[in-house]
Amino acid sequence: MKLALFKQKRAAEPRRLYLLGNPNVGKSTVFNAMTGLRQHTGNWSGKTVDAACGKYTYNNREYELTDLPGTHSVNSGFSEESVAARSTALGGGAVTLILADASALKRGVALALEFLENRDGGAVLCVNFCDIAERRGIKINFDKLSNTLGIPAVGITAKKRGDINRLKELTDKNYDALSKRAAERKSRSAPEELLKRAAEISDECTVAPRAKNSACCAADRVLTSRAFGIPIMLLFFAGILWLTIEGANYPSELLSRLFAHIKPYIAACVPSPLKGILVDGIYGTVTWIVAVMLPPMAIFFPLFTLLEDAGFLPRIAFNLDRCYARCGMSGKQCLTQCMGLGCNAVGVCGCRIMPDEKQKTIAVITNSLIPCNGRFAILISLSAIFIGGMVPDRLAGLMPMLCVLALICLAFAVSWGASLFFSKTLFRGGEAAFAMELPEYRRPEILKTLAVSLVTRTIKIVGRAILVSAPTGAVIWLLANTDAGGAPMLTRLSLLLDPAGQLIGVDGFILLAFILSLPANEITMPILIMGYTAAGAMTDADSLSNLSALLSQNGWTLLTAVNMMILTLFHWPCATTLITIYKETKSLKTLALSFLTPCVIGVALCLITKLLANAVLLIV
Amino acid sequence: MVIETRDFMFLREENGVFPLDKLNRGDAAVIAEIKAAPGNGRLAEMGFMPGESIQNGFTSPAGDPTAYLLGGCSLVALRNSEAKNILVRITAEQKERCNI
Repeated sequence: MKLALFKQKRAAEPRRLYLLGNPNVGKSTVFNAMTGLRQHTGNWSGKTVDAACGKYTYNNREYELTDLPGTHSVNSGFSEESVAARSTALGGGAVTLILADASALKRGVALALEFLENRDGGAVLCVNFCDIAERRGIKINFDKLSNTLGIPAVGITAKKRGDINRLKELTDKNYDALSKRAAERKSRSAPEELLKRAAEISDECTVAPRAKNSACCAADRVLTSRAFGIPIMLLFFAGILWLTIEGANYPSELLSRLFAHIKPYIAACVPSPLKGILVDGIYGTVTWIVAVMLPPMAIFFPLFTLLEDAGFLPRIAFNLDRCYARCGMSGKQCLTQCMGLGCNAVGVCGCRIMPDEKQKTIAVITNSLIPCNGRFAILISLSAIFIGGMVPDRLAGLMPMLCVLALICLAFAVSWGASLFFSKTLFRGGEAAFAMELPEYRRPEILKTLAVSLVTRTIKIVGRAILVSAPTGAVIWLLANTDAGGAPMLTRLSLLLDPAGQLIGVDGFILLAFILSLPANEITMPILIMGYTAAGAMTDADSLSNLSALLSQNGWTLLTAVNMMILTLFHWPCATTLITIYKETKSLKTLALSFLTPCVIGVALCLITKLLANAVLLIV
Repeated sequence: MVIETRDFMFLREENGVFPLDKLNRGDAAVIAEIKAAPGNGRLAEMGFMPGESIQNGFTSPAGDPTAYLLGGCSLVALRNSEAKNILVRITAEQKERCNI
């Protein structure tokens, strides 16, 4: 009786599957295709830093699939954590799907041989990117491969649904037989020997045209050349920024007009005592975020994701590695910074790809010096208003783009400076290595990328901003409308901060906005607007042009705008990032340094610009 | 007369072994040995193993790091300081192909 129960319970347990493979063979893509989840994929190795877990059902059976970080070897790894993860995971009673790239079959076979020798449990060799290999004229004999290795071998193209189903069917059919297999454990072969055997096996099973040795690098020779490498990178980036600023203008204007049009109807539905807090507080803040933040994000990040999917980011790291080497860091920091452009919390998590503890800490501390997309949108709208407003109309698209580009270059330069400072002072030791795989260029799936990055990144981030901004909007409205000795509370608070603000060339409202937007950077501007409107100048800041008027009414000069942008780049990280930093490092020292470093830099830069502005005024 | 490092290498012997960072752009060789140095386990992890073929692909704008085509299938970027720890030799077949 007891035994029967036990058996029943066993049957109900999901079957365990693991996804193992060389770096950048599309493990995350296969994982997503099999489980229907949307783990972020990117065309560079090391994208998956943590083992991800997902479930699917096939043939009425539940499967639990774990995506492991990429490796060339079962027994060694970049970080001890990833080795530990693999050791515990790859045991008996499960099936491991060993993923290989059809164009680099040898590597996958070597991994499979090592697995079969050392580990219990079943294995299936899945050869991915068959479409690319086919285009190159590579033909693989899967029956022969399967017979030689003694495990099922299947060729797939991860993008094709039919292929994924075939893989699921194969696993389902063979699971029981496979999972009981025990390791050969004759003796552990030397890596050279494994590689040699793998090369022999893959040569026997493949028919490939004689490889042209030099063709592979033609695009790279240009993209990384002394003359064109860095200019091309800047041009790409400038192009994306230009598309973002120009493209966001129109929908932004349209959305704000739409919201302004709806506002009276909403106001009519709300009972009058609640009208202020609901309509002016919550509705105002939320619609501002949707109208001003959404369009640039919805354009910039999908475009950036396309570059990422094409395999461009590692080339940027490659081109800029010298700068990182000078700072005692690895060029991989560049990848974490690019992730930080999306969201600093994600960038901080990504710092796990750094080769050692010292570099990881420095990369974590300096990550929030790179503007995340919340701050990015502030930079774009401010430069559109102030810089775009100062130049003739035909340059109105170009100047803000150059301005944002300059600010991003500044952010990168400052973060190099800070990295240099930390690696020479607080965290010394260890020469940095770079060793990084440069993935092949792959044509990104444009439509899918656009859809996914729009849904997973933009909507999610704007969603979070709205969730945070709705209650904050209510609180700020209360602060702005509570009378405290003749003036609204918000005005009182900002007057308190005003001397400090004036010292660094901004005002109290701006400082207050930065302090109150600790939960999410996106709400800085709405808070600022509400602060100004509460202070008396009752302008409706529904569109960019009205915003411009509101800001100049409140004494904004070019210096204020510049310093506001500098502070946007360099102030404390948002609450989410701070929590992530603590979770990742478990060190209060790192947390404190991450908080203080951008503050000190921001204040110092603002003081410098203020002194410069004063000097210019004196001369003029 | 100037004797370049590379020419000198070939004058020495048939199986002259030299560090990877001295491999000229476009030239191919075979990995002979990975010198023991801290962090070199990482190189093995990336597929740098004795017997694997390697070709100097291209160099970054600043001249360092360099990307190598490893085993004819993957591109790996290494700094010169890392490449120094990898010893390579040019085989007779590769020499022929390069018309040396």
